[in-house]
Amino acid sequence: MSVAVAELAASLHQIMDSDPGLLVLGPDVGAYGGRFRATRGLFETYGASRVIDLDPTPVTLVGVAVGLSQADMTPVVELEGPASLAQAASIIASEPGVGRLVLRVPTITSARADALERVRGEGHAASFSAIEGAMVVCASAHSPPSRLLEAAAARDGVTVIIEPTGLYRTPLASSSATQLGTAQVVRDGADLTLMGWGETLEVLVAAAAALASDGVHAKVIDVRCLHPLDVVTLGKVVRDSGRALVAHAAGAEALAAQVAHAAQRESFLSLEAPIETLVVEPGRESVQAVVDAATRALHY
Amino acid sequence: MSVASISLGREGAGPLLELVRFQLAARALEELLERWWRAGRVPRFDPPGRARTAQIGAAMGLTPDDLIVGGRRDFPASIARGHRFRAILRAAVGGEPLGGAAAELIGRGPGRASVAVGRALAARLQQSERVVLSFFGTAAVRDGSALGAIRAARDVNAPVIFVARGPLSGDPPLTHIDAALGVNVKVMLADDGTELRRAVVNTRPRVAQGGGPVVFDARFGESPAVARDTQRLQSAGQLSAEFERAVNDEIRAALWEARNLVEGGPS
Repeated sequence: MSVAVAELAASLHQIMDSDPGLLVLGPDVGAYGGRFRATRGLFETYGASRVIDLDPTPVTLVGVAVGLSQADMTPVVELEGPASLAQAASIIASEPGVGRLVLRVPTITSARADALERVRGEGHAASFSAIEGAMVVCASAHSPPSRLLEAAAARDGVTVIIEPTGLYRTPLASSSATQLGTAQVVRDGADLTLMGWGETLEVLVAAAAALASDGVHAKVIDVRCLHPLDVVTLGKVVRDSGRALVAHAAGAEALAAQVAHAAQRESFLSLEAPIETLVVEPGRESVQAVVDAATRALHY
Repeated sequence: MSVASISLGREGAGPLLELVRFQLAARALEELLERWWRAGRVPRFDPPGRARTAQIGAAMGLTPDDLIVGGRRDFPASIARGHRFRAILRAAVGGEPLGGAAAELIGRGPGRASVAVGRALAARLQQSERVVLSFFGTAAVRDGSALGAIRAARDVNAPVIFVARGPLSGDPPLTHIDAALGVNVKVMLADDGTELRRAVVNTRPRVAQGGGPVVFDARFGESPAVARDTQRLQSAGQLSAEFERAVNDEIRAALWEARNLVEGGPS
């Protein structure tokens, strides 16, 4: 069993081997191996022409990547953080002929100030709606960054992968290939649907386990694709259970409301209770908050 | 009739004559676009004005495989690269990018100079001899995007020729980046297309062979324009009122035809 960041580096090696037109760009991605060591060893193997240290300014970094993409190359960019996303979207949206392009966005989620980062990260998923074919996905323990990267490098168009850095040191069980663009059932259950993405999923899985001890079987869904939403799956799972709630980190209220709205629109006649959204942070208190919200929905 | 056909119809006339013809064509097109913009028929209009001399001169220094990456304001360069009036007018009316193998011009997209670096880097990695010409103005210098792109081009040894065009707006020329970034910067006379063409022709082989990017600062101050190219043509005895009238008539006819085609809808 290896940690997520090591798997990410291994995936990068693999896809660079199979695609000679794939380049890795970003601040310190070269000899240093990246801020989070995700590009470790690439520089030594592929050299400075394919692993390129560039200024972290998004206008430079994303601009160069766009130019490469227009020339049929596959740039994989490690952005400095989600603060760059809005500007990245603006640059890509104004450019014609952008082909395959992957933006990896490490998002620090362990400090108090991170709520603001999330506002800029997940909250900016909608910024990419102006770009035809663009997709914004969020990694989780069930959709590891390495698998998302492999899928993104194989698809045409712009893919943004939000990578909560808390996942990087998480040991991963073996995972199969990931299909981008779809939501994923993480745990099955028929009484209630708990929806989330990124690190909030662990809270939902713990809450589902707590509910199971009281005889309530909750389904847990990894929304995973934040733009465009997989409304078919979201609608189906909510129709099946009739009750749902959306958990999200602070700062992603608009996105959570969008998920709730999409699920509600697809399942309106089957709903037994309104779909609630709630802010959760990793920890026991949040697990209890989810259990309480689930109980409210069950007794509505 | 197109501007390309106008220039090609004067084979052997020499680059100076061609340069002046392109300038006249660009001015006529600019006047038409301005009228259309005032009438609300063009969503946005970025006049090249005096920058047209630098745009045309630099574009004429390239080889056919090279690429120009700029904004829609740089349409005079695309005229010099063979884009037809009709294509330029259609792009202006539709608010669309002006694409093609020779020049890619879009509105006021941010980071265009960096996109040029990406295109040039791709050319180098694909072992092409292509050089990319990137235009930027004082706004890109002030917001740092131009300097970021120049530094990136230096770092990845991208074959880019940067041309700063338009008004200086009180800013100093870019000579300071020569020492700061180690990139060759040359200040040019904004109203001398011939000199800029020559500079691009002379520099291009070195840039294409991995000599690193270069920057030509062809921005102008507040002094009145002195059309050096026209003066040269006059001194050579090749410019007369009859010649200018004949060229203008020819351009007007080409513009009229392009205008009718655009107003007639997509073909």
